[in-house]
Amino acid sequence: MANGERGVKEKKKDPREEAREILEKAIKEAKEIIEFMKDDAERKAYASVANKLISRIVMDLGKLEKELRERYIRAKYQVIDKIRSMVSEKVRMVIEGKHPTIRYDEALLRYILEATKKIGEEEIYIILNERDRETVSKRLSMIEKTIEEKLKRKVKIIILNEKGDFMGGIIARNKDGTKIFHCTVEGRVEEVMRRLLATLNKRFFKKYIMGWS
Amino acid sequence: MRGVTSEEVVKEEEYDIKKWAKEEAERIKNEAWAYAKRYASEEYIKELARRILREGEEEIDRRIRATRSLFEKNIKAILSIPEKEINELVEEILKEVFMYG
Repeated sequence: MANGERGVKEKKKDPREEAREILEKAIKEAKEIIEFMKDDAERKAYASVANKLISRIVMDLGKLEKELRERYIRAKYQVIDKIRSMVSEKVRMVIEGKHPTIRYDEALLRYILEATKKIGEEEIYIILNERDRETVSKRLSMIEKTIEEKLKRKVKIIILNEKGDFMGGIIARNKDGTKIFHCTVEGRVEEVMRRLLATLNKRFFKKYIMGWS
Repeated sequence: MRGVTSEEVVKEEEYDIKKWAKEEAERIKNEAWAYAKRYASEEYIKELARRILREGEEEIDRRIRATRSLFEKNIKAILSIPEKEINELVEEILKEVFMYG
């Protein structure tokens, strides 16, 4: 018991230690008072100028960003228009047989082959423009033979009298017109351009721009 | 007259040092309040607001310059895409249009 009492007595804090703790606590509180008042002043000051700053951000920075974004989009469309016009020019070159690597007669054969695959019947009716009618008519048996070799089945190609009002390519259908396959050059250009525009940012412009995706 | 025992001297000292610490703590806190009062003054808040406004405007100006410069660079870059690259893309489009490759 006596030992226990001694134990308690030993645990009693040193008054100097207690005094030190009181002072430390006071210093901590003093710092908190100063910080609180500083923060409060900052909050009040911010609140008094926030509207001015927000309005400058919206008016000046926002307006500028809008203007520059429009210029940026216009620049992109300038390039896209250039691509379009170069494509049109080169399409004409291909059709007129002036392109160094792409042969239009081969492309026509590919269109007919694709139409045959898509329609999947023995007789394929095709509409061509006036110029292509002549070319295809002359090579019809060769075309049918090539298709037979590729698809391992006989296919009869019938050129319709109707003249297509398009630059090139074909419109194909089955006998009763329940299956139609459009493969005109104009249509293909539009389709490819549309697909390209969706990926142009990632594939093309991203290489040249910086700072945002 | 009775003499003072050593135990009484110790207790007296204990009392004195704790009392002193408490008084000192009170003094420190009062001084903190007195010091912190400057932050509550209208003049201080106005001056702080002026500084925040000035710094905020400088930051906005910096961002305006940075935004303008970034856009200008990108617009210039896009408008000067090499002809060779555009040509390659056009050839790629042609190949797709005419089902080559």
